[in-house]
Amino acid sequence: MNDITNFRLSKAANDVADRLVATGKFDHGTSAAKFAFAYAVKNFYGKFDPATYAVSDSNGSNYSVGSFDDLAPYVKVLYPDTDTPYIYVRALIVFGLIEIGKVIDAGGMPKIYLLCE
Amino acid sequence: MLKFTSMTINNFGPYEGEQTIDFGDGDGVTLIWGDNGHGKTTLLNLFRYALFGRFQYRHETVDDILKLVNREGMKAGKYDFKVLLKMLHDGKRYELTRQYSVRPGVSVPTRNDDYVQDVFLKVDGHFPPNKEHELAMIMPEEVSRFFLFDGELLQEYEELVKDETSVGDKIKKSIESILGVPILTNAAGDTNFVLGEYRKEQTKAAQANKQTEKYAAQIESEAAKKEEQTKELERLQTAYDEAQDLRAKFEDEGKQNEHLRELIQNMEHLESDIAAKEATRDGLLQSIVVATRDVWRYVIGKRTTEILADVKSELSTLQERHNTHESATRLMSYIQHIVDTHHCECCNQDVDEAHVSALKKRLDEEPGEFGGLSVEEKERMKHLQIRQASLESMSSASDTQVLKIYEDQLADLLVQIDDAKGQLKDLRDEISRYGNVSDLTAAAKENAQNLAKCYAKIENLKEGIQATKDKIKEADIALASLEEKVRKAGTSDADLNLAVKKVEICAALHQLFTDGIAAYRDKLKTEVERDATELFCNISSDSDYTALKINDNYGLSIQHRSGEIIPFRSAGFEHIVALSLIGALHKNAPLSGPIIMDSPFGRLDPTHKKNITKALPLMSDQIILLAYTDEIDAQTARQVLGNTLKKEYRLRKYGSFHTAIELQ
Amino acid sequence: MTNIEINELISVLEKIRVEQHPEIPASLIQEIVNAEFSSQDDRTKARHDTQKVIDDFLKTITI
Repeated sequence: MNDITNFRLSKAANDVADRLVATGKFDHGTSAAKFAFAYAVKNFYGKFDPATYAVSDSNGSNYSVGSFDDLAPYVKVLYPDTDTPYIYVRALIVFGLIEIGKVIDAGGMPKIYLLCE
Repeated sequence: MLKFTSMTINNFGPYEGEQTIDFGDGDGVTLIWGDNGHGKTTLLNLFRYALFGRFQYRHETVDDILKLVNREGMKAGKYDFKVLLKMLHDGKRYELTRQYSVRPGVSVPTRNDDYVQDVFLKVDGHFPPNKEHELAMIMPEEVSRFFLFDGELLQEYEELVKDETSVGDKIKKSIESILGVPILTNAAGDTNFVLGEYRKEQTKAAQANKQTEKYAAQIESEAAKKEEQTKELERLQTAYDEAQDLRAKFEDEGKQNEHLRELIQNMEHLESDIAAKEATRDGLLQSIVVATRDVWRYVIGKRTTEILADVKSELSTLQERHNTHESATRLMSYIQHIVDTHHCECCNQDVDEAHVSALKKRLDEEPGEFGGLSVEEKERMKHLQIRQASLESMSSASDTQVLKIYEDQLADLLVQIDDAKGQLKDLRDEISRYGNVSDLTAAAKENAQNLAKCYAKIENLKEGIQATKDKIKEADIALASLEEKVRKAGTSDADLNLAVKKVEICAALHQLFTDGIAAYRDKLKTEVERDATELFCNISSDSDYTALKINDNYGLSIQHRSGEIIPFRSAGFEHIVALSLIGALHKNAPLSGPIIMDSPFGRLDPTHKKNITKALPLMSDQIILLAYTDEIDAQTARQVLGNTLKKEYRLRKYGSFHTAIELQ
Repeated sequence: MTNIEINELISVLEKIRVEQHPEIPASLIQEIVNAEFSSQDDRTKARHDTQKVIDDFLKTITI
């Protein structure tokens, strides 16, 4: 299977990234996306399978995988069997953003450090 | 005495639909509870609107009719609104309706011209020919401050204690008005006018008599002088009143300028404070952005650390087995050497056949726990070693401590900025009500100049008035002397004698009313002082304060037991003194009516609040008290008022534009 | 409008009348006060009514 060279987020995930950036605490969507990736790994590693995750749509922003080069080694370590790390990166970002979106909807925009622990 | 029996409000202010407050016919206190923003002040203003047709909000008259319509009603397409006030006065029932209806042909009103205002007054079921007169007789607007008042305005009464302030003068005028002094001053003026008319007749009669002819000419001349001076006096007095009004206006403007200057200063402080806070906020955000750029490594680290621990543990098990096997292999190789050479290198001795056989047997046994790793296990170990290295290289030194500090600081700061912006908005709103404020310094300078001119003019007018009065007095003396001469010279002339007699009666009448003014004022002062003292002593909790002393302006000072006047009194006592004065005025005024007070307890302690509540029925037969929850303790109020408490209502807010008046 | 409400005011005038102007009838003072009291909002009418009260009284005066 061929890996991807650029990708789009889903609309819903993109909205959450925008909301995070709007707080002024993230300089760009990529920072918010990386954070969401980490959030997904921290909380859902082992419970969530990026290989089978179906991203609902591709109506969000477009990113070059180059923006996420520093995530690929993690995917390789965390999911050593994959040969399509960027598909995993996208899945984990989208999933992570959606999960953070649920937290925001339930109790308002939390402080970022609270999402880290 | 005037009493309000009910008020019906329809689609007005926060009052949606038609709502009625029934005050009943009897004496006593009606309590209306309502928290801030629930329509208490609007209710007070509705009485004022019903009676005088003016709707006041704070100090300003509301000119925009559309602002008065209930918003919910508006949404439902109802733009008409009205107030019906039912009153009882001297056994007659008054029904006063004031309403604004949308002009025919207008579907949605957008400006004042789209409305028509109607006023209807029914007295005992009939429409009186002159409703304005009827209303002015039961409640003249110039004395309304003693009937309808906001607790906040009570401090104005302090001006009465000072000399010649414009506010003090205004209140003094209202006090004299409610006490009926103008009846006497007008009577004195009118009898003087009539006296003048009869003097003319007397002069005619004197002219017709040969003996008095010469005096008649002099009388005519003196009377003309007097008339001229009287006209001049009227002119000067009108000018004086106008100058006083102007002075009040300029003083008010000056105060507003001062207040506005303070507001602008506060606004500027707030703006720079907000700007400084926003700069700090931006700095914090920049630091947070730096922190969040890499915080993901820390977050992943939380998981990779766990994974690394698992890897290390598995690797350590495999490593241990591998090491044990290595040691075992080395031992086996040594034993094999002994078997092959029958010699032990370790102790440098030959080994006999029996021992070599035993060692051979041992070499043939299964390796058991000392066996080596399988090929897969070796692969696994290699894999784990690579993974461990990768995971270790990913470990992040950062944590969220710094992020936490910045975010917590930011959260506090954002609240502060929000609060400050809210205050700023309120300030800007207040400032915008003053209109154009671009050149405040020039406005203040102009105001000061105007005020100085005004003071000078007032002084001149005062002198002019005194000089004119002196001239009138001189003319009166001259006239009296001439009239005396006429009387003596014309004793046989019946017509002249009658004319003289009429003048004498008119002069006596005029003198009687003139003397009456001073006597009535003295009597009023004594009685107001006595009644205010009685009320004050009922309310005050300080037994060392034994009396109130009145001055020429009806200002009241507190007298200590020792006889000394208390020089500085607290805001709370100013309040009590003002209420005592109002109560005393009601007792002594020819015009009496209900007292409607909005939040009169603000500055007072619980004891004084209780005492005032207790004294309310002494102030007027009908009291309508608007209070916010906890302004006075409800249980205490009910207890001290006892059966003088007629009814309790609560203004309950069901939405921004819907307050319901509910009977408790 | 009732006279009861201005009794205090009239009593002050009455005291002066008795002491200093007994020749003026009490009813004349009362009528003038009533005229002034009931037209406090209309100075012209008050003056007119006061003048009429005095005129009517002076018509009854003889020498």
